[in-house]
Amino acid sequence: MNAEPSGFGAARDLTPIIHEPSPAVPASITESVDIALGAAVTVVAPVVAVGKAVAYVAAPAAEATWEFVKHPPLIPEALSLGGVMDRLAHRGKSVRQAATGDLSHATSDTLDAVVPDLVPSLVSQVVDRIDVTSLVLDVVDVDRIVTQALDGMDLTNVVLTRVDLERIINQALDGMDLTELVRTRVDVAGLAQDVIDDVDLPEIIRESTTGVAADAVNQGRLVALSGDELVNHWVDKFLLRRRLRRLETGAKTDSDATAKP
Amino acid sequence: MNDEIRESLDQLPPAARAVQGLRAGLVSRVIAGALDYLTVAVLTAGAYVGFVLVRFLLDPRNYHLPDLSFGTLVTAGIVLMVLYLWGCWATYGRTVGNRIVGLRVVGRHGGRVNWFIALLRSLGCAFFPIGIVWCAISRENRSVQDIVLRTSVIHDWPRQLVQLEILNTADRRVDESSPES
Repeated sequence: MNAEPSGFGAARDLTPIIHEPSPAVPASITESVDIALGAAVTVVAPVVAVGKAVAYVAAPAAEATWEFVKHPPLIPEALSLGGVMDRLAHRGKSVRQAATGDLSHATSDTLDAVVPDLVPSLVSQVVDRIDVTSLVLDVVDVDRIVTQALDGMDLTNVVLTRVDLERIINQALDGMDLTELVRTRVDVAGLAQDVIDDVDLPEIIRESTTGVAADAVNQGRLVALSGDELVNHWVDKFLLRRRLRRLETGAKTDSDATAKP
Repeated sequence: MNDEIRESLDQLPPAARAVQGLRAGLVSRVIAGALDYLTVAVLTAGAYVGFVLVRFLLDPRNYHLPDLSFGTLVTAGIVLMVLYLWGCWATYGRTVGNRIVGLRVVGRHGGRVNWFIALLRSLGCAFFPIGIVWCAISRENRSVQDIVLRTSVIHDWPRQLVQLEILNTADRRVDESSPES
């Protein structure tokens, strides 16, 4: 875009994207008006010529008289015909400039009065006649603008702070039949088979069964152990034995094998 | 880390840890003996069925159930019991009943009994089972057979010896590979 030698108005041919205005007046009417205008000019031209000659002679006097009428002595300027005419002219000029769009010499007052009314219609006309989308796509480097805008933003943060994610997700979930979705999209049987293949189920069952059995056996051994002590206690009591039984043997047991060598 | 695994393998209840290596009392030994009787009964029945099958296979046409007297069965049971106890004690120190209850037969010095002592002890137990009752009276929890043969029956709950041996081997390797401190 920067390679363009000047503004796009001068360099680009915008005719393809500017719509031709539709003809406002039919040709037959235009022709009739032209004939009437020609006839009028033909008739009026001599009269105007005579009038011009008369005006040329009488102009100085008329001008002096007109000046006197416009600015009569002893009458305030504001109330004089000249003052009134100046004000009317000023207002008329504003209206004319607004109507013709000739704002090159407009005063700020005029602009203030005219722009609010003028701009909307002007823009509307421009927009109607231009394919703005094509113009923007053709002239503006949209990629660069978007890239720069995205670079300057923390999109994640924007989404987190500005977006009601919970509501979105809830609405999305409400609108979905998850069960049906899983049933149609997921190979449940294959998945289950994979899980079963990965898990050594027989080993787990074997280990848990062994654990339960080992616990039961241990409980039984403890019961037998307490039975031993009970019998020993009563026998010792019956024999009036006061010394403790000598049960140590010094034998190595499996428990000793757990000690680190 | 091996210590943690060792700890998890060491699943003895605290009450049982204190009695490991001590001589067992009457109740434990009677339960173990009862389990051994059951085992021998199953063995005897199995031997009978095996005997019947062999006879059937040898002469199927003239087959009839063998007419074995009760005395014959008892004799066979006693013989099997002697063989069973002898083999178990001499090789492993435990019978099936001993293993379930967590007992082990040890010799005079706490080691495994030899074949001869094991044979004598199995004969003693098979023909004079009532001798076990003396362990309730004995101050050392010894049955008549134990007193005669200088043996003992101790609490020794069997463990996962293979896994423990693997752990011990791994520990030795770690110790050997680590630099001397």
